[in-house]
This record gives sequence, structure tokens and C-alpha cells, in this order.
Amino acid sequence: MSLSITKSPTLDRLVLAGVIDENAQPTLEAVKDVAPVCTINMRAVEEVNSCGIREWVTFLKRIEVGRKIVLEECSPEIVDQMNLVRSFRSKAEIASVWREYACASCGEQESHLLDAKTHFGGGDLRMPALACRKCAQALEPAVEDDEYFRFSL
Amino acid sequence: MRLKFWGARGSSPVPQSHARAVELVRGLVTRAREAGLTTLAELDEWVAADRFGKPLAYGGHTPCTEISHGDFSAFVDMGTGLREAGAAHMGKRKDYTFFMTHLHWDHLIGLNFFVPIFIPGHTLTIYHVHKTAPDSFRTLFNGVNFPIKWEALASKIEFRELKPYETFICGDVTATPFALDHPGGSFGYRFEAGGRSAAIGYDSEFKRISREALGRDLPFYQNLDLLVFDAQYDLEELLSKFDWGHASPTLGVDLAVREGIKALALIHHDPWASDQRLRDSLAATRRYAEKQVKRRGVAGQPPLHVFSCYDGLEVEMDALTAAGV
Repeated sequence: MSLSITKSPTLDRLVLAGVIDENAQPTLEAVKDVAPVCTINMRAVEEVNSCGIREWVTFLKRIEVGRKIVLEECSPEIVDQMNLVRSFRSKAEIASVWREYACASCGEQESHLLDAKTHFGGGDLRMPALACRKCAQALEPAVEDDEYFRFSL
Repeated sequence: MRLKFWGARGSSPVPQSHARAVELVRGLVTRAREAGLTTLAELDEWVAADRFGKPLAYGGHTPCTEISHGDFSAFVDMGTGLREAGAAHMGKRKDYTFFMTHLHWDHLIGLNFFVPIFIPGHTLTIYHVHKTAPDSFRTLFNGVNFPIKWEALASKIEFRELKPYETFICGDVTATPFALDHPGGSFGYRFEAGGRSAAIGYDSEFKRISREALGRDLPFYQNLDLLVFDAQYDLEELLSKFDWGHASPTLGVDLAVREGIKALALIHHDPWASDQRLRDSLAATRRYAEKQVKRRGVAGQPPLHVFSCYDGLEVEMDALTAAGV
């Protein structure tokens, strides 16, 4: 797993990538003195195993005390974990998630970023009608709405 | 090498109750009806042939695991399962060997009802790592906690302290204690015999689980046939029970897949877990294992065999199978 951090007095921006597993502990433990607001971009997180979930939740619980944590661009893997393990996000706000789609007509696969304000915040799902970039036919999500957004309902 | 699990629950014995009996009978009747069975004879036939699968119930004894190979036999821990083990062995042998993981009560309280301890001519040899072990056992029999005093026990009892990583050798069987992660300290044992290996990995939270964190304990999980793993909590529960000293089945899968362990036995079940919950947990763990072997296993890595221990389960290491589980 790799982690990069851009710091400022009021906002820290973290970017996580790769595999979160038992080897993530030293990297996550090194994150200290987090700003009052911290965004964590998780677009490039490819995989999280059970050991990684424990390391991640321990990390989140440590840094969220007295701070606002916002998870951005959560990858489908992260969404899966949030749906499987309720405490995966702890108290963090979910700003946006990536969702996979396929075209029923030509088979083209696409990923689209959906954000909480427009599409899934507040307990309501407001899914966009998306058209295939290749053939303009309707895109179908890889996972049903209720299942994919269980974490937000 | 053969393992027999005389007790598979952790922390506290789980007695049968009216509610549990009703749950069991209702479940069995439902399945029998679905199978079209109409007579008791048919039911007996199905049960005898394991057609409902094993176990019908996981049982409620606390940990006591028997390891045997040829003439060698030893027990790891003395949970309440030891009472039945004692009854099964009475009259067949006079010498008993024990290895203690630690001294929490759920791992000791079977000894008070282990009949051979009261009979002259029997010898109990207790291997332990904790220096205070003899005191703990004497406290069990101090005349207040139990009516019979230590001095009045008719059998011969010997304590043998083992240092961590010091190997016990008996014939072609070896047993080596290694460190686990549990409040007060706990030690697993790796047994080797007849070309097979089995490691006892309860009670442990496995907070040290990366190769780097395991350090000196890492080799005990490598080139291993069977890991008996602390599976007390599901992952969601575990995340709120930091420092409680127990682990979760899927952590065992992560460790087993990474180290190429062949089989994973889930044990030390939560006393609050119903039989159905344990069945569901096993199914979910097997799905996770299948996924993780595909994702993280090395090329050609065979599937990880995962099973859940129950009172009375016997595992023959040569086959590495557990009938009906």
C-alpha cells in the first residue's frame, strides 16, 4: 500500500493506493498530527483483506477524534467492504464512490463517479441515466442499486 | 497424527437449554420433512449416514484438544471437554500428558472432574510455560474452590516448565511452544509427527500477523499442514473488542493463504454463538477463503480446507479431512 499526504493548517489530503493488508500498519501508524479536516482519496485502493480492515479501522478510529474525515472516490472494493463491515467507515463521511457499469448492447465497460450530494446522500438514491460512450445505449450497473449503496441507506 | 477436539467453545461452557433444544429439534424436523422422511427408522438411517451433515450441534465444552500418534497421546489444555476425555480413557491407560496454552479458567476447569486424577497409580505430567502454573492448579484444589484438596489427590502429578521455543521430544513426536497474543500471555504449540504438522493457535488475537510482526514466531506457521485458529468473533465484533485476546475466522484465512497452510480449523467459538450462526460463519469463511486463494495465493496453490471444530470431532492428519464438516 502507498500513501501520500498533502498538508495544510486546516486540511490534509491523503491518497491511498494498492492493497490494504497486514503490512499497512507501519504506513498508517506514521500518519500523525492530522488537520481538523482530512480527506482520504481511495480511488486506487485495489484490495483490502481482513487483516487490512482491522488496520484501517484502527487507523480511522485514531485519527477521527475531534476531526472531520471525508472519504473520496471510494473504489468498488472499498464500497464492498463498507457494505460487508458496518464499522469500516467508522464516523467518516462518504463524499463520492466509483461504480462500474456495462453496456447491455455492446458490452463496453465503464466506471462513473457518483457523489453523495447529487446521487446517494440523505438516504435517497438518485441514480443518473447513463449512456454508453461507444454506442449510446443505456448502461447497466454491475451491482443493483440497493445492494451497492447499502452503506448509505 | 490424529487430533480430537473434546471442547470447541471458548471462554465459558455452554450448557444445553430448553431453547437450544427446541432450536435443534425444529431445525432437524424441518430438514427431515424437506427430505420426505416419515419414520424414525428413516431418520436414524439419515443421521447414521451423516446425510444431514455434521455437526447437528457444536456442543458447549471449553477447549481440550487431544493429539495422538502411535503410542503417544497428549492433551492441550484442560477445558470442560477433559471430563469426557477422562471417562473415555479410563481403564485404558495410566499416564496422561498435558500441554497448557495458558491458565485462564476456561482452560483449567476440566481437571476437577477428570476422574484419573483421583485414582492411585495414575500419573499426570503437565507441561507449561507460565511459571505460576503450579499455583493456579493448586488453587483449583484448595479446599475452598473445590471440596477435595490438592494434597488428597491420589494420582501423581508432575509439573514440567517449558521455555518458549524449547522443543519437547517424545519418540518421533515433537511439540514446541510459541508466543500468541492474549492478555496474560498464551502459548501455542506446534506438533510434528509422522511427517505431519499441526499448530494450536488459540487463545490469540493475532495482533502480530504480518511476517515482520510475527518475527521469531513466523516459522511456526510455515510449512504447516493444519492451523487450529481462534475464531471467537466475526470481524465486525472483533473491531470493537480490541485487546480482548481473540481473533476472527477470516484473519486465519489471510494468514493461512499467505503462508500456504493446507487446512484451517476454527475453534474457541463464542459462547453466545448459536449453532446456526456457527454454520453461517463457516460458510462465509469458506467463501472468503476461496476468493483469497484466487486473489493472493501463489500459482497452483491448492484450495484452503476450512472446517469448524465441534465437541467430539476427530481429524486424521494423513487425510487432512474431517468427516462431514
